[in-house]
This record gives sequence, C-alpha cells and structure tokens, in this order.
Amino acid sequence: MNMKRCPIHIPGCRSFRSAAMKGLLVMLTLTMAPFSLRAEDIDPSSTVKRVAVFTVPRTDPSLLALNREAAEYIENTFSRMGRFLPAEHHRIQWALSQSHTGQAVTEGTFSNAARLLNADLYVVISVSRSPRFAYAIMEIRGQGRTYQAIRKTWRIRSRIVRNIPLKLGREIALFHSGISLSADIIKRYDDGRFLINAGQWQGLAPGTFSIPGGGTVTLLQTGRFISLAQSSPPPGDIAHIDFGLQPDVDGGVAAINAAIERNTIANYGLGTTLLKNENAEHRYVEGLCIINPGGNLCLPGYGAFLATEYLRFQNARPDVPGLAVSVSAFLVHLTLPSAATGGRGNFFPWERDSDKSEAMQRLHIFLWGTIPFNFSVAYMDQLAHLFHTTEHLPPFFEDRNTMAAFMSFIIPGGGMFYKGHRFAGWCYYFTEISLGGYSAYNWDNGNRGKIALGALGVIKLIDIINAALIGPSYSFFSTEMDRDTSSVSLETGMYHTGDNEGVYSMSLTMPF
Amino acid sequence: MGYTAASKICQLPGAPKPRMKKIIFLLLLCLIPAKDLFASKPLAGITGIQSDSARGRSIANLLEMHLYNILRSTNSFNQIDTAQMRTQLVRFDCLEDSCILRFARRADIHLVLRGTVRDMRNSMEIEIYAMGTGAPYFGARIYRYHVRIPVSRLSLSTREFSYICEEHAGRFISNLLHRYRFPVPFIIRGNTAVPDYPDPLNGSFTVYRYDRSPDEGEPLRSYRNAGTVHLKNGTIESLAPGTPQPGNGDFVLLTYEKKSQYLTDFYRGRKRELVLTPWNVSDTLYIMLFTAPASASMPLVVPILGHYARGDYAGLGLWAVNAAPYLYLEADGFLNRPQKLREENRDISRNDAARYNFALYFCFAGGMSLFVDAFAQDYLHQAANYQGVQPLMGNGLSTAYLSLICGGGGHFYRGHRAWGYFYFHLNNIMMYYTLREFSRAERYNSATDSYEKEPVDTTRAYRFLGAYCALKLIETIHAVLLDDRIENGELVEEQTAITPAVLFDPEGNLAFGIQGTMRF
Repeated sequence: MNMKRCPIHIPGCRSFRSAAMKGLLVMLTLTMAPFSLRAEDIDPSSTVKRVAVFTVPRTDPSLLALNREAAEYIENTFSRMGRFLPAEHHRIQWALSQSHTGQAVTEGTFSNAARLLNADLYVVISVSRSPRFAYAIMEIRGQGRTYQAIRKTWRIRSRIVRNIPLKLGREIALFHSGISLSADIIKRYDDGRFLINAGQWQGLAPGTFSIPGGGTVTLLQTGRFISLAQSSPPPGDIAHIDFGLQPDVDGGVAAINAAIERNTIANYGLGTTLLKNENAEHRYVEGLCIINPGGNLCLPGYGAFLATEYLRFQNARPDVPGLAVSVSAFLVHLTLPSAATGGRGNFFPWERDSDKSEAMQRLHIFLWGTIPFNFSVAYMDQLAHLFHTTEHLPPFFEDRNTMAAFMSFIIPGGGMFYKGHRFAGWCYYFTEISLGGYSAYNWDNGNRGKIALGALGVIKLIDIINAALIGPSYSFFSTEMDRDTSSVSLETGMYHTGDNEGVYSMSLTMPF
Repeated sequence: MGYTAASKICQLPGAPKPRMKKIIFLLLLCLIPAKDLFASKPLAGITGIQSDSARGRSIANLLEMHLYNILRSTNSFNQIDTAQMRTQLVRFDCLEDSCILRFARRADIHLVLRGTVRDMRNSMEIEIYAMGTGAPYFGARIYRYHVRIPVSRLSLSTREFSYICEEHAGRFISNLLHRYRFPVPFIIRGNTAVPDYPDPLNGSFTVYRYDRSPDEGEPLRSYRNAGTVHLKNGTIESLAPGTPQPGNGDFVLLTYEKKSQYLTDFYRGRKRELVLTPWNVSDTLYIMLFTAPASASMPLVVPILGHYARGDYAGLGLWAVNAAPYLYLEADGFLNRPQKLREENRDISRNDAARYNFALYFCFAGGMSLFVDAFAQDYLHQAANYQGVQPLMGNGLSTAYLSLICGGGGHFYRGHRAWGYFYFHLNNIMMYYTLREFSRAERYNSATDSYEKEPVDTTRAYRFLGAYCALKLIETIHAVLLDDRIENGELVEEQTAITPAVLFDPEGNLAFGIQGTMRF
C-alpha cells in the first residue's frame, strides 16, 4: 500500500498518491455506501465536559518521555474520576498547530488551543530535573463561564522519576473532591424523555436517582457518555440536572498512593538494592534471630552493629550514642541485682544465698532472662540508624504496619525501631522492662506486682497499636509519599469575563 | 491535507469526516471475508493491548493472540484482524476510548476489546475490557477484568507466559460472554418476520422494539419490551398473548451463557491437566501412611521447613496464632497424663483425661492439617504459575481423607486457607468436648488405694459425637466440592467503593448520606 504516516501538522501532505489506490478507495466508498455517516449524528463523547492536557515542549529525550508519561497518567486520572473527558491526542496536536504562531510556546498558545478544542479546563505540565530531584509544575486553568475561576498550580518534586506522574495524578484526583455530577440536557423528546450528557463513564447506571432539591430522575438507558432519562416532576426549562454524586476520590488516591509506595519500596527497599539477588526477608530474620545474638554474646553492644553487616550495608558507621545506651542497658540487666545487694549476692540468678531475697532472685532471673530483648533492641537500633543514613527501607516494608505491630509484640519497642523511631523505641523498651522487673520483684508484695503486670500489659498494647499506626520516620520515604504541603505559591493572572470585562487577579496559595 | 485531516477527525463544526471514513475503509479492508460483514453475527475487534515496557509488550502480544483465538473458537463472532486494526488505529492516532467508540459505531463493530499491561517489576498488571456499540450498550463497558500476576521468584519463559496469557484471556472471554447480549433484528422475509442470524435460534425470547425510527440519528435509541416470542429453528413458532407481530427492526437479545460455561469448564480442565497429576489412589495411600509422622513433627517442621523456608510469612504468623492453644493443650495433656497422675495418687478429672486424649489425637492426626497448609500453599502457588506438574495435589480422594482425619485438612489441601482455619478450630473444639463427654473422672480412694471411676452421661456424649460426625460430613462434602486454588494471579478488586457523602441542596442545607460507586 502506498500509504505513509501523514503528520498532522504538515499542510499539503497526501496519504494516498497512486491512481490505483484512489480507484480502490472510490470503489470502497461505493461499497461502503450503507455505512455513510449521518451529518446529524450526535457524537456522545463530544457532549461531555472536557479537559485538554498540554505539556511544555522539552528537547531532552528523558524529559520528553517524562512529559508524555505524566500527560498520559493525568488523562487516565481524569478518566477515572469521570468528570472531565480528556481531549483526544490527535485533536490536541491539531489545536496546538493552529494556535502556535511564533517560535516560543507561551501560555497563550495553550489557552488558544484549549479554546479551539472547546475544553472546559486545560492542564499544562512542565517537567525539569536536577541531579537529585525531578520536578514538575502543573497548572490547571478553567475556561468558559462556569470554570473560568479555576486557577491552580502545583509544584511537585521527587527523587524517583516514575513517581512524578503519580504525584501529579494524585493532585488531579484530589482536585475532584467536591465536584458533584451535573449533567446537561442535550435533547428533549415529545414524550417528556430527554437525553443527558452523562452515562456509565460518569458513574451512572439505569435506575432512579433522588436529586438534591427533591424529585427523581429515572435513567431508562445508559450509554458510555450519554443517557436517556425521564424525571418527576418533568424538567421544564431546566437545562441541567445535579445528581449530587461525588467521584471516588478516596479510591483513586488510595490506588495512586499504593503505586507510589510500590515504586518507592522498589527504589529504596533492601530486597531490590543491597540484597537484590538474595532473599532479603530471610537474611533479615536470620540476622535478628541468629547472627545478632551470636555477635552480642561475643561483644555486647558493638556486636549488634557488627551483625548488621549481614545485610550488606556499604560504608556503614555505628551510631555511638545508640551503642552507649544499649551497653549501659546490658550492664543494668547483668549487674543490677548484684549492685542492689552491695555485691554480696551471688552473681548468678539460679544461685540464692542469704544476701539475695526471694524477690531479688525473681528480679535477677527476670533481668537475665530478658537480656535477649536487650540484644534485639540494640540490633534494631543500629539497623534503624543505618536505614536512615544509607537511605534504605527494611524488608517486609510493604506490610510495615503489620510487621511493626508484630515486632512490638515480640520485642519491647520493636515496631518503633522498625519504623525508624529510635527514641520512642528506647522509651517503650525501658518502660516495659522496668515494669516487668518491678512486677517480678513485687510479685508476692500484695497487689503491687499484679498491678505492675497489668500496667505492663496496657503499655504493651499501646506499644503495639502505636507501632501499627505511626508512620515511618524515614524522610526519603516520606518525601515520596507525602504531598508537598510546604510550598507557597504566588499567582497572578488576567482574563476576560463573558461580558468582556478584564479581570486581574493575584493570589497567594499556601496548602495546609 | 494535514490540517484538514485533523479537523475532519476532530469533527470541528462544519468539517466533513473523510479522515474517519478513511480509517474505516482501511480497516474494512482487513475484515474477514466481506460477506461476513453483512451477516448478522456480531463483529468483534481487538483494538490493541497497550504496554509500558519491553516485557509488557511481549505479554501484550501474547494476550492479543490468545484473545483473538479464543474469540474465534467460540464461533460466535466475525472478527477483524487484530494486527491490522491496531496498526491503523496507531497510524491515525485514534487510541482513546472516545475515538475508538466513534470509529466502532460508524463501522458497525459491535464489540471492542481493549486493554493494558503494566509492568510493576515484581508483578504485571493486566487490564482488559470490552465495550459494546448499539443496543443495549450504546458504548458502555460490558466487562472489565483486572488482574495482577506475580513474576518475581518464578521461572517464567515464553511458554509459561503464553499459558498465563491464555488462562487470563480464557477467563476474560468466558466472563464477557456470560454478560454479553447481542441484538438480533427481525427482517421480513416473504410475509414473515424472521430473526436475521446465521444460526437457527430456538427457545423463548423477549422482543424489544425501538421507540423511534432509526432516521433521527440518535446516539442512544430508546427501546421497550414488546412481549415474548417462541422461536424454533429460526422461525416464529408462537407469540405470547399480547405480543404484537415482530416487524422490521424489532429485535431479541441473544445470550452466550452456554458458550461461557463451556469455556470456563474447558480452561479449568486444561489447567488441571497441565499442572496437576492425574487422579490416583496411591497418592492418597502415601498421604495416609505419612499422616502420623507428619502430624507429630508438625510443631517443628511446619514453622521452619514449611512456612519460613518457603517465605510464607503470613502463613507463619497464622500458624503461630492459630496453633498455639492446641499445642498448649497437647503439651499439657502429655505432661499431666493420667498415668503420671496415678503414680502420684492424684485425682484425674474429666479435663485431665480429655486433654490427654486430645493430645493423642492432635499429635497423631490433628496436626496434619497445619502440615498440609504449610506445603500445599506452596505447591498450589507453583501450580498456579505453571512451575511444573505438582505431585500429590488435586486429588479428590486425598481431600476427603484429609477432611475426615483432621480439621480443615481438605480445605488446606485445596488451598482455601480461611475455610481451613474455620474448620480447624470448629473441629478441634468439637473434638475436645466430645472426648471430654466420653472421658471418665477418676477419684483416688486412699482407703482402698484404688481409683473409682465416675459415670458418664452417654446420651449427652453420643449427641456430641453425632454433632461431630455431622460436622465432618459437611466439611468433607464442602471440601470435595471446592476447586483447587490454581488460578493464576490475583484479581484487583477496585470496582466498588462505599463512601460517606455530604451535599448541599439548592437551599444551602447540608444533606448527609452514603454513596456507592461502581467502576466499569
């Protein structure tokens, strides 16, 4: 076939040049006569409210690809929300070619293109990069009488390029909060029925809807973008119907957040970086249960740091204050009963003498019995320090809340260390061990021991719940997951109202 | 031509539409044979599966191929060549749903299949959906299938990917056919209205009639139920009372549920053949012989060699939580066994006796279910991902045996963990109390230096036994009737959402409510 790609922006290009092809087309035209298009056909998708997504041109191929990916994701998010239908790509190209008069692309180019496309909104995306971050600025502008007041700008940054489109998409999803479904009546019939420009795509299905302000609308048939309806009372001169349906913003944001989290864990996770070709989960468990106890038995405190080598950290440095705290705690576990008896009581807990009361022996057994907790906490503290400084995420991070709760269940403060909250972890550790020790010492002293045990149970429960609910403290992770709420933006603008009145605007936006 | 072409496809005011026609013409060149175009079987087209990586592209190609082949195998559709159609749509940059629907509507393509394959590194997400043109869909999505398939820590070559794509394509087409309705119009032949369909239709159908003539160019034509017609060999046998004689344009909706069921059964059977061994008695015999050692070694083997070694940490956590109370009972039963109490001349309560009997049961049979869970999950995971033929699995007789001798064993064997734990607890609780009812307390009489046994309420005990037998019967039947969980991938359920809603009515008053959203 003598057919080649006909770039839309090149005037005069012919797709079919040969006479044979023209003849074939004529023949086909005749053959296809029954399929000829009716001029009065309504294209359902053309009646829907529209958005045009533009990108500021870039020459760098990687930025070009990011531009394209971001635009596509934003269009998908608009589609998912079901309020503004993204303009088709070939139409955008055409409109840009029509409105692009000079060398440089200006804001006027996009607004003119959006006007040509009859879009209610248009979005302009501009991406850039620095050595550490990728940035994107997204502007959304309304057009026409209904939406002209909409003017918003978002600035997004991420160290993971793949997260840029997702973060932009999340803002678009949140932008839809509160935009309820309002459909225009586009055709009326004699029998009281009417066509509206909303259908399955907007979340409608056949059935009866109560509408705000009283009355009901019954959708008799629903297409993708259009529905046949009748209402009670009849619509009269009303031009549009407000269904009051909200888009599924929470669901959309949750799905996007899950995707951002997946990318972030893939980028920082131990299993996809340092332990790429190994079973990271196994090494983490083995490090905690086998390597660390062995290391601590040989060299209490510093052994915990040495055991972290099992997870293959590069250029790792120990956290000296953490080591000091863990060694001090270990010494307390080991020597407190001896010190409490002035060094006269037998050093070993299983030996009891006249200087060691029964209560003291119980405390002694408790403190020696909980030395493994000290080892584990020392190890998790060093791990948390290394995860912070080397910017890695621990294994099982996809299920971090469950894992943190489990860690807190088996180790005092374990879940807090797992999520990087070292100080909180130490606080829970000292509190639980102290309450446990007090309970053991006072077990036969009235209700004191039991009350202390109850208090320990309550603290343990709080520890578990707190660990499950608290967010991770790893800043590199939070940077990706959280919305950028710190930026303040100054906006200026000029537009004309429907009455051709010039309006100048200036706004200071601070998200909170 | 460039600008003009764009304006035409864009349908700008006053612009004709030859560009769209051109697409249609080019595509119609590819339609399978021209005669079929005018036949009444629905015309289906796969407009391409998008992908975002090289690996995704190969999966998309496989998926397209299988979708095409399976659709063809149903012999229910005329089809457009997928590659040609995709090439032309890409060439003309007609890739959005709205553009494709416009094209399909004008080309009289009844069913459009589209999809995407997203590479998530550790998994691939496949989303396929179908849209219908004309009544009763008018462009609406008929069915959407979204699945996440694992690809990490598996040995997957082209052959396995092909199997996986075929499975998902089969499931998608089967579910689609279950929902799809095709409007078969009546035409007047001679003086009689007959359904315009190549195959003779039989059975009772609802007749629908459009409210308006087709000349009005509406994108959505309302229709209504006009009555019921009984067809035999493609002709009207009778009309239900009150049903007018069908005329030109009236139609019935044809369903494909039988073909859907056939496809479901076919692909389920095919997968079993590929990944499970044929049914045989010897497998069950081996399991019987292995029951006692497996159950006895469960407390050590299951957490270490089962869940941990296979990376099933969720299973490990579930095992720890669920097994703990019974392991305690088992340990207590053995440590305070009646023989030991007798040596110490202590009384033996019914609970002591029941715990010992339960310990024996749990040691030699009851622990088998958790042993099965630890290994079956992994075997079925391998089977689901086409990692070779899995031994000992998929055997109905083994399922029945495991259900009978331990709580939830059959369900764990089939891969239904939640049901397994449900029956595991129910069985163990019932078993313990049944044993307790049959157990006799023994009081030590120091005067005679002997034990006196207390009587047992046998009626009550047999009631417990009857209830336990009923439970085992229900459990066994349930387990045998279930399918093995060997489906590949995990369905991504994000189609429905229920959220609170706060609205303002026109008077500005707050209105609170709950809204449900279903995503198509």
